[in-house]
Amino acid sequence: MAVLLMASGLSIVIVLILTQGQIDEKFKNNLAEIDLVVGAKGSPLQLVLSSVYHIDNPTGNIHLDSCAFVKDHPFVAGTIPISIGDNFNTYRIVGTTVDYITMYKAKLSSGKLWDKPMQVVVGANVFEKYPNKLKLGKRITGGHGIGNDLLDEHDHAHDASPYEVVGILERTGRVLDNLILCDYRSSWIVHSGHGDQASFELKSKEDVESIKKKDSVEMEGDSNLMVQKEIEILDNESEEIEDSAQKTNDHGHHHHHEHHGHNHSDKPLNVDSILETIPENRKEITALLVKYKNQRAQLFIPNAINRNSSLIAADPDIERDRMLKLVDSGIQTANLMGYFVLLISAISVFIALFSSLKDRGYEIALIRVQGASRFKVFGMILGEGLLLSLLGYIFALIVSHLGMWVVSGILENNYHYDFNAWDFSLLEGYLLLVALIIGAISALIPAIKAYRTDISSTLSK
Amino acid sequence: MIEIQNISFSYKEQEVMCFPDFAFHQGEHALVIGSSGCGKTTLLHLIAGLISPATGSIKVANTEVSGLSGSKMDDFRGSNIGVIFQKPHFVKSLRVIENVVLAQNLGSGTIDKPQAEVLLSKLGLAHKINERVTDLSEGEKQRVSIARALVNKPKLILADEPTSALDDENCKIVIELLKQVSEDSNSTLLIVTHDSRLKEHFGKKIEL
Repeated sequence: MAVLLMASGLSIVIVLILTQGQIDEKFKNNLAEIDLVVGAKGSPLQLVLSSVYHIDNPTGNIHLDSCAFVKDHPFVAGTIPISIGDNFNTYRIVGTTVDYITMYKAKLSSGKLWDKPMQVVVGANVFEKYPNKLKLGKRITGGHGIGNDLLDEHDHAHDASPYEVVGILERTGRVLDNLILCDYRSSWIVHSGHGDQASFELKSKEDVESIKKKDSVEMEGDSNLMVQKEIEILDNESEEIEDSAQKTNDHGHHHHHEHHGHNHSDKPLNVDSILETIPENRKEITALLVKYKNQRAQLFIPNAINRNSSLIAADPDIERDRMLKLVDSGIQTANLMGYFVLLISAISVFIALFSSLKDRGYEIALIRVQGASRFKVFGMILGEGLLLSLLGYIFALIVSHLGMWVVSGILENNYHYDFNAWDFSLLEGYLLLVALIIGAISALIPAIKAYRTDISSTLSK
Repeated sequence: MIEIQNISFSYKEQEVMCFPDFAFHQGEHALVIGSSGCGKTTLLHLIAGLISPATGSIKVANTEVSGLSGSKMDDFRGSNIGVIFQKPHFVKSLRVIENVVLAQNLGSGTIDKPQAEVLLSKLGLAHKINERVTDLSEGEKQRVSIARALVNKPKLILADEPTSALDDENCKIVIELLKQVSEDSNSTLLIVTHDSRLKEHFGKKIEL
């Protein structure tokens, strides 16, 4: 019983030590060099969580032109657009520029970075989870929202506008690992209904040849089949579009008539021409990550942004601190609980030893008669206290790490954050010392009592 | 090898008890007889060094017992004196053989399991060596007590009412065994008792 109590108290403290360590590490590392995040009006915390840590939904979209001035500001070193919306089997497809990859100092483990929209570079963890579906050269489709496997849902899957895997990143230990990255303009193409055009273009003979060279031998059979499919879709779309021409006033008719009888071997300028057709008011992004050139930018940029009623500027450091404070008070409470249980377990070790002495009084007198000295008996009881603590500690170590393992599995599924359950920290070593000291102190009084046993009177009882 | 002179003792604020002088050689067996409450157990505890006399001297194996203190007394007692108690008490969590081996360890510092087994066999307990002590009968328990007291071949064996809790038959068995193993190791045997059944087994008697 005493062992169990001690184990519980120690477990709580261990789990907290580990969690705190990993949370700190995760949140400090992902900030990289981001000084400011610009996004749609809403909670700044939500903006930072969604656009920097890629947890939580974004606050909305913003127009590219509304924050274009930031890039040109003399105090700004650079900006990176972020576009969030699609996902692949719960992993986010994030539209951005290659600067995002450089910012996190990520390296390619194979393939290359994208050079046009609709090409994706896959993060290490995502690739590990779907090594076959995300091989170089494979096509994937995206869907809306976060957290649902949308290959089964038909409404929102953008079947007609597949992305192509062109690169795979090495593990970085940052949020990158859990993302699929592409050019931020891909989402404009996907949502403009021209997605098929882009895929059509990628299906030109030259592209198929170059893909084959990259060892995706299976592509050949696939690609012919898919070209077939694309043509069918294309024919269908043309009819649909002509019918719905009146409803969707965004699309110019003349482009669609051009699609009929399109020559397969046209050179790839089509992405640009598609992009040209997208009206300015449809050029949206989710957020803009900003890096200052010098600290004076802080005086100007956020104000300029906030003056626009549809935008907000969030400071990632401030928001992170705010969030850690919230989490902190939770952790502090749990800490207190842990110490409290430890205290109770110390008391229970004491009680266990003390009461056992009552029954073992005779035993102690017995071994004294047989030649054991007072010190020996003292040491014996003390040793029992230490043993109880040691057992409690080992138990706690196993239980808490197993618990972390289970929890990290859950976190993995929901947030793609990998908590390492088997990381051992130095603090755990100190905790062993603490446990042993607690055991020794609890055992002290019973040990002294054993030391002072009067053999004669005990035997006479 | 044992010599008592001029011993007196009193428990806190109780009457002073005086004990007769006596002496025995190595290997002799004797009874110390008296009715309950006359100080038999007290005398035994004095000889074993568990309490100190108010006056007088107790010499065991040429050592002044009342002069020894602390761990020296514990050591001396462990190697030279074997004690058998009235009600057999053991370390409950240990088995029969382990209790006897523990006595070896505490008394002489070494362990000789075969020797312990031989002694237990002599006492008719060969088949009970690995039993839990709590599973034994009263007679068997008392025999384990004897083994425990004698395993270090002590110079002096003190037995406090060893047969009072036993029936006639077990009493006979235990007392015969006790005499025999004491002879085997040439120990001096001092039995403190009010059990009149023992009178016929011993020649030398001391009355309190």
